[in-house]
Amino acid sequence: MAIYTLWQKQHLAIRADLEKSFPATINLGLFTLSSAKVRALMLDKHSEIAKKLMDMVARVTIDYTNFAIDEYEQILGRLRQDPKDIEQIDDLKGYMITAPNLVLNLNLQVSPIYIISLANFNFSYTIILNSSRTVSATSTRWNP
Amino acid sequence: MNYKLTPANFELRWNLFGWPKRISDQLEALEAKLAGRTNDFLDEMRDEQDGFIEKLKGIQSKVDNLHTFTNIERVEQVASFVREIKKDLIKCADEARTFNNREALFDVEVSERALIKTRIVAMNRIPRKNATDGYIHY
Repeated sequence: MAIYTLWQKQHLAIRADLEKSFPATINLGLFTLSSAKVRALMLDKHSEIAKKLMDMVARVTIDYTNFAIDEYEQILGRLRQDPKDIEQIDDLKGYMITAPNLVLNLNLQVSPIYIISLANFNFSYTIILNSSRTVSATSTRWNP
Repeated sequence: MNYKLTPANFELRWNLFGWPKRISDQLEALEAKLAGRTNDFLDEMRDEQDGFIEKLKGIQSKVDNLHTFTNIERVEQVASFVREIKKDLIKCADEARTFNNREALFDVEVSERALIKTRIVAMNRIPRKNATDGYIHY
């Protein structure tokens, strides 16, 4: 996914360059050539590509988030089971031992996605190793 | 260039970040709950074991009374009675195994239940008529 954010930044950079270097009119002696329409078209094109790439990053992030939430729900569902006998308690105790690793693996799967997308959303966050996470938001807007 | 997230997606992210804490809290709560449930199940098992011992005593007295059957004409009746005792003993052996497994899970001393095994072996030594050849086997 990092490549998409890179491409997206490249398109925004190209757009900024075009905005500076591509004049709306070109003087050719007696004549003046208007390039405003082409200029606007190219600027719009790069903006649109950048936006679509952002949409994709957001969509992939949302998909991963939903996947991770489903997984967490399954873990919680298992931990909420009411044991009916000592054998079920024993099973549950075994599962309780594996649960922190499951959470850690999910973090490892989701974190790279969030490091990329949250960096773009101007978020800062810390992962605490005891499987809990605190996040501090600075913005809900994406500001490249 | 700004990219506005929908409120639902914004919530989704916070929801995700909250999950490890929820799991961690649930693990703590479950640990406390399981300790209580383990004690409940242990008490239940002890009650069941008391009932089981009573049941064994009943079987024991039935076995002890077998010598009172002396009338050969009642052999069929006695045989079915013995078969019933044997079935009960096998069932008791299964129950005893379950109790022993549970005692291990509860981390309490495993009870000795050799008596049931001895009784089953003894019952197997009782002469019985074979259904196919019609002879009595010892």
